Amino acid sequence: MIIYSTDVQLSNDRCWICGYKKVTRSEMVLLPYLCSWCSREQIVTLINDIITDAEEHLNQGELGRCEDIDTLSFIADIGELGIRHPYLNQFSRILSTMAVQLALEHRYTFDKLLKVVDGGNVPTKMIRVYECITFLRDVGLLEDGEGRYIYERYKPSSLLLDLTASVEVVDVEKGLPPRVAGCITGYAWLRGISATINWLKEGAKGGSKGIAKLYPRSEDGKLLIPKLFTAPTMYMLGYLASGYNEFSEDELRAWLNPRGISGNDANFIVNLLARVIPSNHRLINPFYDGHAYHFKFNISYIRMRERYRERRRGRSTT
Amino acid sequence: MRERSRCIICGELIRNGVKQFCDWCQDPKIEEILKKLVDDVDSLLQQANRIDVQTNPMFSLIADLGILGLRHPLLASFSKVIAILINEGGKGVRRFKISTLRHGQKDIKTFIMMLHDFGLVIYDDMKDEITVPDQSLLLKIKHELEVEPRRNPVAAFALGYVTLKSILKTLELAKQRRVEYGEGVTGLYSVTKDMTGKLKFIMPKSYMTTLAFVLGYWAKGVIEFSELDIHRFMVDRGITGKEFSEVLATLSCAFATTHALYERVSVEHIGRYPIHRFKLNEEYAKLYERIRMRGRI
Repeated sequence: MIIYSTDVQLSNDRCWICGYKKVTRSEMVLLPYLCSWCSREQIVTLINDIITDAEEHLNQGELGRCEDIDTLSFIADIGELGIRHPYLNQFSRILSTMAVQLALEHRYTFDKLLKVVDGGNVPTKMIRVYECITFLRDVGLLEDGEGRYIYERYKPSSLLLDLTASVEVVDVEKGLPPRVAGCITGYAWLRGISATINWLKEGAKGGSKGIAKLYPRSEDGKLLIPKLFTAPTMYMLGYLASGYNEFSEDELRAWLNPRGISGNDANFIVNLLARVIPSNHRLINPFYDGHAYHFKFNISYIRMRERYRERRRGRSTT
Repeated sequence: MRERSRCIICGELIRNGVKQFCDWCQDPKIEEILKKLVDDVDSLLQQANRIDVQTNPMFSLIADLGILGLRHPLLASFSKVIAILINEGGKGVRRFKISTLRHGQKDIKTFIMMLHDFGLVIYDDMKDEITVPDQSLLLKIKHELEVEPRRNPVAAFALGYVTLKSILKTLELAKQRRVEYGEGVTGLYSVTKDMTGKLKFIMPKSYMTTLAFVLGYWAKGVIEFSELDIHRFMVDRGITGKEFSEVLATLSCAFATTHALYERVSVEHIGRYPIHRFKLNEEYAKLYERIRMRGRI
């Protein structure tokens, strides 16, 4: 029998989203589990705006047009960053497999999900699948239900059914197209980040919520942060939310350094964003000035942000 | 042993002594956009009676670039020369003895020669005096100051205009032959002798490097940058510590002489320390696009 506890004890010396290591006592007391960057109201507002807009499009069955719709393209890019993470990519595979199975068979099964998950033994794999299922429940893609089977106990939400209805039109036998898979997982990541920020702001009581459910654990049971995904994601969300359109490699490295990301890990992030490592994302356009990279956000995403701002100000009706 | 020299525009150390420019200043984008800007300004100056730096973004940009040099000790004395020429020229005095124009600097001849090259004054070598011609830019600046006397940055236009023209001339000269002292932008340099009697050329680096940075980023279409980008650029050119703080303060308008190069100067906590972030004035970003698009057509 697997004994699995979801209760976690978090230390207040770091941000549990981006991994920022706090050095002063005041930082630890005033914002116990978050840093000043991740606790910004602007970021949470931007994430909520993106989620709301994305849900509208997804409910209308526009997943297949994720290349053309800026919001869906943005979340597909976030999903792409997650797929690149060595630990989180297995959860992307679980979600894609679930979506494909739901599209073809209108149900999902535990054994198929077990096949795509990493792990040395079956109990570890089962824990990871269970973590992923409860994570999907947190982000609203699964709902509590009743029945004998797992797809009845955790039944797909209407949003997930709408998503699978959209993927039926493409040839899913060979798996989901990368952008479509990225779009579904990106949506889950963003909702997960938002849920975790709210949970941490409320004092991190009880079991972890949101993306923190997927965090890996060390051998002695300590929670680890998948910083290679969360740090660049929060960095870009923070910059976009602050109204900036450009940033440089030096700024990115200076930001990553207190999060414990330097050397090869920082190089990996810079190269991934600059698409030196082959990648499908269109988050930013790199430009090399002879010494370092300079990045400009995709103009579509800048317009997307401005649209959300205008909506909040009440100047636009669209 | 390899000879070492510095870029004659921005002051970056060049290990290969044969080259006179660094890769940054040699970027064809800089020369291209600078040429178009200067040509446009020249044609505008011929047509327009006023140098309206408040409404015309081209004039405003050049004046703002000139403001960057006003706090430099050497260029401040050159600015005083320009100020005398503007004021006295406006009153009707057109002839000046060189000896009456010196303000702290022993030799202003190279600077006067620069003004002569770009038609601001006519230098008479025999009499060692200068004349302000009727079509001089300095008289137009005086007229503009009479129209709008309070806090008008038009006076800095002359320094910015002369510097940009001299940079362009330097880049053009370098295509034909080696640039010598006194030619192009080196007119802004000063010469002293060291203890051994060896001639030492001193460039107004904090101004020229800042100008190269601002102009380079503008020519490359970069709208936003941070203190870290400026720092990397400045350190490569030997500007550190207090001198760097001065440059940063100048760019962030911390001094009384304010420019409008950046519409947003904010402080962000990137890493553990706050750093300045700059966003280029929208007018200048549009001006860049306009000049670039016209080039394409």
